[in-house]
Amino acid sequence: MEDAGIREVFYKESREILDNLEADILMLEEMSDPDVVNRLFRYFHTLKGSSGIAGYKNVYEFTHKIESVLDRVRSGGIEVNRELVDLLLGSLDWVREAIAGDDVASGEAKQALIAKTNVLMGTVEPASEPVSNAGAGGEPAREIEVGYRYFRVHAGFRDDVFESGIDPLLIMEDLAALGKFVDRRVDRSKLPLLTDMDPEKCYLSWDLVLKTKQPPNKVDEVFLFVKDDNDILIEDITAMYTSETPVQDHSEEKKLGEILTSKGILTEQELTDVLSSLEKNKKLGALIVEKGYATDKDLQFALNEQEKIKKRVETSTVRVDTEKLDGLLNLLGEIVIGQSAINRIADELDEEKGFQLKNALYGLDRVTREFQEQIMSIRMIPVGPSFEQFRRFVRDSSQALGKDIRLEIEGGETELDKTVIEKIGDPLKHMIRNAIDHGIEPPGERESAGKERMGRIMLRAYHQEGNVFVEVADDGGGVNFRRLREKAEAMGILKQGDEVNEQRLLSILFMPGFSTAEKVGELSGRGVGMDVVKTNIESLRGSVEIDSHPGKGTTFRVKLPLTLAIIEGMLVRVGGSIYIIPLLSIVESMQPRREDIRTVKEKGEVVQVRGEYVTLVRLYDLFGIKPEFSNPWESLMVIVESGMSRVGIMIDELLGQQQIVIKSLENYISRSRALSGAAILGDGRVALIIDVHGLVEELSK
Amino acid sequence: MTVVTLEEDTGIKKIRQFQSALRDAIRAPDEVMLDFSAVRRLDCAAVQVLLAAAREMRETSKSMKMRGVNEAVRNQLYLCGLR
Amino acid sequence: MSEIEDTAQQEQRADKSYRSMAQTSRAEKTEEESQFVTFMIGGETYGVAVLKVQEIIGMTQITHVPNTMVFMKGVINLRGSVVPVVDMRIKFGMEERSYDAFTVIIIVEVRERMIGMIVDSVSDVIGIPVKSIQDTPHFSARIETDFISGIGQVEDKLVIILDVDRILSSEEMSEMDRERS
Repeated sequence: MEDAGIREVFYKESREILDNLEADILMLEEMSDPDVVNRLFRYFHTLKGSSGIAGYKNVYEFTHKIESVLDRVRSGGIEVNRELVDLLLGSLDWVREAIAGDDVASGEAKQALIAKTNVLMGTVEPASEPVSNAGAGGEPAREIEVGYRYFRVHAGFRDDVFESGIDPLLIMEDLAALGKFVDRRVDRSKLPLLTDMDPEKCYLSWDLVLKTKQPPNKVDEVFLFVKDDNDILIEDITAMYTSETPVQDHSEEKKLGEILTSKGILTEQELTDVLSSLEKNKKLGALIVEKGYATDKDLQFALNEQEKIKKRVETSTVRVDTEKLDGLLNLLGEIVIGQSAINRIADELDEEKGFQLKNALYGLDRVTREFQEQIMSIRMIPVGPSFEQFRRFVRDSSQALGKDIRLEIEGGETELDKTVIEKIGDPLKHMIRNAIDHGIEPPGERESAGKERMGRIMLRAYHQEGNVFVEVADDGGGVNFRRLREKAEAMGILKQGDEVNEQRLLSILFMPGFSTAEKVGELSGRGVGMDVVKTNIESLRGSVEIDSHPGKGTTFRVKLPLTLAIIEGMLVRVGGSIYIIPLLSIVESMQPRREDIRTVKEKGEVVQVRGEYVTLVRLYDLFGIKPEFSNPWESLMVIVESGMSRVGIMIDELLGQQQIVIKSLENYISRSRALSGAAILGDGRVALIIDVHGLVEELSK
Repeated sequence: MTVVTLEEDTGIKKIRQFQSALRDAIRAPDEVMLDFSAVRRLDCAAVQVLLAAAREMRETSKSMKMRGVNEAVRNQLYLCGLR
Repeated sequence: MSEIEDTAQQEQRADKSYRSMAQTSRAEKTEEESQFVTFMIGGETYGVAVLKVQEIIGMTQITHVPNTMVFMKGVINLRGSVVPVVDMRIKFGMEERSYDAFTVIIIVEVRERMIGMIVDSVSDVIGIPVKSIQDTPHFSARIETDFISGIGQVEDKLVIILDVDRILSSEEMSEMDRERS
């Protein structure tokens, strides 16, 4: 199940890369641009990495070669000419075919391409090149299934099972320890409402398929104490899984069987019989007819049904260009503005007509709000699923390096704009790859440093002040500053004796072509990656920082401004202007008393709030506008918090809270760090959003 | 935000307290944060209560956040269909 | 290209791009011309290339932005996009004037970003023979000359042709980039 997921992801990802590649290779033919070469290199690098993980060994080996050629092109060793472009285009086609599984002629094609690369590289590869078995083409290396057994387990418990001191969850954990669940269903339908339930009764039951190397009696043993009194069913279904037919096809077949049984054409017994005697390369339908369980006509009927089901599944989702959603949102904004214009006209009408119109508008208003929320919710998705796909990646690549690494995920429920999630996948992968390759030490080294043998990589997402932060943290050895420095000097980035702090040194890691790895690693270490990370994140108008402590580990912190995210904001008025303060940053609002206001040296004006001094911010001064009140004791004060500091922002009026769609404000528009963006209000006005963190920073200068 | 701190021995023995704590948290108007820092593992009874609470929160479209969840507990929640 | 076709195209384009523009000029075209949207600032006629102009809108509510260049009046809502607007009088060092019923905002595209120019009034779309456009403007000392790409003459009128890509100098744009990043 998981394998199919990974290939699916790889397939999608590579298709996108291949399309980009084509455009870039063609661009290269027009003019030799180092940027394009760099980009091509990265694309092949990414392809190489992910094909290795997805099990496309051929693609992996091949792209490695092309990568070497491009590396040579990058350093000027190979000239950009027609021949190179031909080779690259040819390679692209080959990879495309290999991934799609067209393998008939591609062995020869690959050989020809490799010969060309060898000419270009000026080397003749030894004849032992594993081309001979390239007949398998792009077929992913299939996991060896030998020795695995599959058990279908149904476990339902008596409702008073807890009384006998049995914990069903413990049993499930024991079962899980035997292998891996390839299917897991928990029946929660009997679970009453929280208020109604008797928490001392058991309401859950499980339906699982366990993949294990253990013999059947081991599985039986897990249920030793419960199997007599409870509803426990264990079935060996290894036969359904071990034939050569891929698992997915089987589920298709199974569905056909299900249709036949549900229509009463086939009994359960007959189906099981057929499934268990299903041989390699044989269609289920044919076998059923062969065994005389159903006629051709019955089968045709079931096949039609199956087709219908497939169609239903296909049409239930639609892929939509996110630009179209943006367009919708902007149009909706126009509608809202139109509405408020009508509202104003309603004010001028006579009372009865005005009232009727307002009532009608009220209903419309509700609909438009809901409309907006719906559009937004389409764009916002939790980061969890895209984080999950790294689990396998971490497992496989750490195993390949002989390391023991666990990936921990936190904050998977954090929602981010879909486009942002799509675009951070690559950078995150690079950072994780970096942590696996260079961050986490080999187990032996860890042990002698007094650490757990198993390394940890934390992937964490959280909201902070209208930004989403994503962190990749490892508990490895940290960046070797001395080596970093040596490398930087060798590359001429730094001169000997240059005084630089650690932050500056770390920033060198993001320079194109920079790498501290001593050998060319499987997955990273060619000096590509970290610069891609930086450019990709910056293209989202985000930023990335590194924090590293020798012996303790390295943390990459990615800050993503939510271009299209919603925040809960408090609308405040200062003079004639409206500003938005993120609700998350607000501690409280109050009217300060005259006697609580002091001027303190070096801190400026402060207000005493319950024995604590809070710096007073005259926002109107900072922003150069005219306020209604310039005496703090007449105005209101919104106390906000950023990190450890609290400040009180002077405002004239609180206008209420509202969901805000953040629009970014281009840097050149304002120099103020106290702004994080703008939003369009219901009446069409633009209001600026206050960046509390930036405000505090600006004050401390 | 309402924070519910789970005790180390959250489970069948104190299940009624846990049930009522969660019930109160759900009735509170703001978001609920469950703090698992002290918990090493849960039992089936505790997970059941969590499942019921999570379902009710979903229905009222409030969010239930968790922190301090260790690997064992995470695995347990996974086994019971929660993430 | 025949004359009839040309005029039709021009009208169609005008219809699409300028909401408040009523008519297009039908100056006779005997030689190669470029099309310009012309407008008035402080009694003088200015022009920007038609292709650079996204649309022209009436005066709307401007949100003040702190800590910015003097001529940056703030930002407006242009159908859901937040667009900065520049007061051309201040930019040209002329005295400020309160906005009236003729004041319009010309939305132009500058290096893939939209920027609004506040001008006294908008006049017409005219064709200026390429030959009559002079490159070196020693004509007006009042405004920065690197902003002007030439002076065109139509009948007896002089049109100062602006290079909108330079509304904000590259220093202004990149300096801001540095400041905040």
